[in-house]
This record gives sequence, structure tokens and C-alpha cells, in this order.
Amino acid sequence: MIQLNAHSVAPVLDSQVPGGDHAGSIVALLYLPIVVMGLLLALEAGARAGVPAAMRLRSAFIDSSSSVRMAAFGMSISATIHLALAPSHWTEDHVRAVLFALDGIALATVAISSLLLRTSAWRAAAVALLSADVFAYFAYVVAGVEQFDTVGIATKLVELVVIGLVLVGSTHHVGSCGSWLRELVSHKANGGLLR
Amino acid sequence: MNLSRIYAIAFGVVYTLVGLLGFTVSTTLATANLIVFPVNVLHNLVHLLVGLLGLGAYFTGQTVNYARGMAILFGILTIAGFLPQPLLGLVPLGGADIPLHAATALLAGAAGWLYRPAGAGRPAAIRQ
Repeated sequence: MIQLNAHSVAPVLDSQVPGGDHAGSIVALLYLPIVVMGLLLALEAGARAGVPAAMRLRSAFIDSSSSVRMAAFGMSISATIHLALAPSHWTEDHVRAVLFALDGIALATVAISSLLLRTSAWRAAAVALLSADVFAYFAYVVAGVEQFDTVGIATKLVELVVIGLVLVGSTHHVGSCGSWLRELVSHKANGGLLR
Repeated sequence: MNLSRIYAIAFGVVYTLVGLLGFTVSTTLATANLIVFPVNVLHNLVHLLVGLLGLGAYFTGQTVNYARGMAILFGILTIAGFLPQPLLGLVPLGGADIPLHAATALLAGAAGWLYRPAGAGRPAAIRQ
């Protein structure tokens, strides 16, 4: 009988699976569009069946802008990766695993809120959460707890882009830094600068 | 809500990326693992093709046809995944590929047939 030894199998698996202990998060990421599509299909089915909550949420989603949808998708990516990292970190560091899970749940909540709520309160929460994520990652790297890796750097880049999208969207309402962008767009609408 | 449009852009981007990533682990007919998904060069080419078709459909407005085509293609690929692998000695379609292909087919079918955008398939004159 062949007995498998976990210590002898693990290095072999690691060498066969690109991404090492982050493989789970990459697989989860592949399933993200499937989950998002499934949720949208359920929302559409509910709205067509005349469920009031589904109809309200559906119209809120349709009314959301492209930048908000992109920000929500970026937050979903980050949430998926953090949630998928929690189980693989559980054995080595319980606290970090719990933090990953809580962070993933919070990001997913803010992502959904950004699409479905008509207020802009989610923006402050998004910027605070994502900034804390980026800061915490670099703090852990400096402290030697984490090492730079492709998945980590890519996730932080996505988070920085989302912070930018959220801030540009908020200045759009306030009318300060985003004004040059509006100028450009209005020129385009009038057949001007970007024509 | 135009779900076929969302489907086309989401799966177009994902399958294009997966197709490109696949070439980093296999450029021959030999089966290799892309994380947990068995792939080879033919598999990667199909991923790349359906991904690019999705992007093309998004920009040309052929998203309903794309979703229906994907539902049929990936339905067949899902069933083929239960046959001896690699299929005909050419393409690995089993293991972790099966649930991914099945979910892709189911969502494509729903986006293509169940929830078409209002007015799709009707003559333009009637659509206003």
C-alpha cells in the first residue's frame, strides 16, 4: 500500500501549481465573473417576477455609472483574493487569516453598496478600507511578515486604481480636481478637443 | 439590463487572459496544469479564440449570438469532459475544467435565451 506523506507531497504540488499558496485565490478569481453573472441573473429574474426589492436594486444598478461599476468590480477582485487567502493562511497565522476574511467581507459589502445604494457614503468607506489594505501590505512587507509576490503586487495595483476611480467620481460631484476631465468630455460632446 | 452584453465583456476578458496565461505553461500538445486546470496548446487557442470573439461581440453588438454560441459550445465541451482524456488524444477537457465549462455554458444560455434585452430580435422599425 502506498502511503502519502504530506511533507513529501507538498513541495511537489507547489512545483506543479504556478502561484504556490496563492493558487486558490487565482482559481477563485476565475470564478468571480461566474458569481457576478449569477447574481445579476438572479436579480433580473426577481425583477421580472415583480419582486419589489429586486426591481429597486435592478434600477439602482442600471442607474450606476461606468466608473462606479469598474470600482465595484475592482473591489470584488480584491475581496475575492482576500477571502481565498484566508483558509491558506489559517495554519500559519490565525490572526492574519481572520483579518483576510473580515477584509474580504467588508470589501464585498462596500462593492455591492456602491452599485445598489443611491447615496455616496460608500466612497469614504471604500477609500478608507482600500488605503488601509495598501498600507497594511507594505507594513507587513517592511516588518518581514510578508514577501513581495506577483499576486500581492497585482492586488495592490488594482486597489490603487479603485481608490483613484472612487476619488475621481467624488470630485465629479464636488467639482474640483475632476473639472479638467469634464472639460475634455464636454469638448468631445461638442465635437471639439477629442474629436 | 442587457445581460448578454455583460456576459460578452466579462467572459471575453477572462477567456482572453486565460488563453494568454495558458501559453506560459504549455505551447505543445502535452497536457500541463494552469493552476488546477488541465490545458495544452489547442485548449489555449480555443480559450483565446472565444475570449477575442467575446470582445468582438461586445463591440459589434452581436452579444446575444455570442452567448448562444458559447452555451452550445461549452455545453458540448462539458459533456466531452466526461469522456476519456485527453479527448481523442488531442485536448484535455476533464478535471477542474468540467465545472468551469458547465458554469460558462449555463450562464451563457441564460444570458442568450432567458433574459434577452427588450427589442432584441425584432426589426429595427418596430423597436423605435
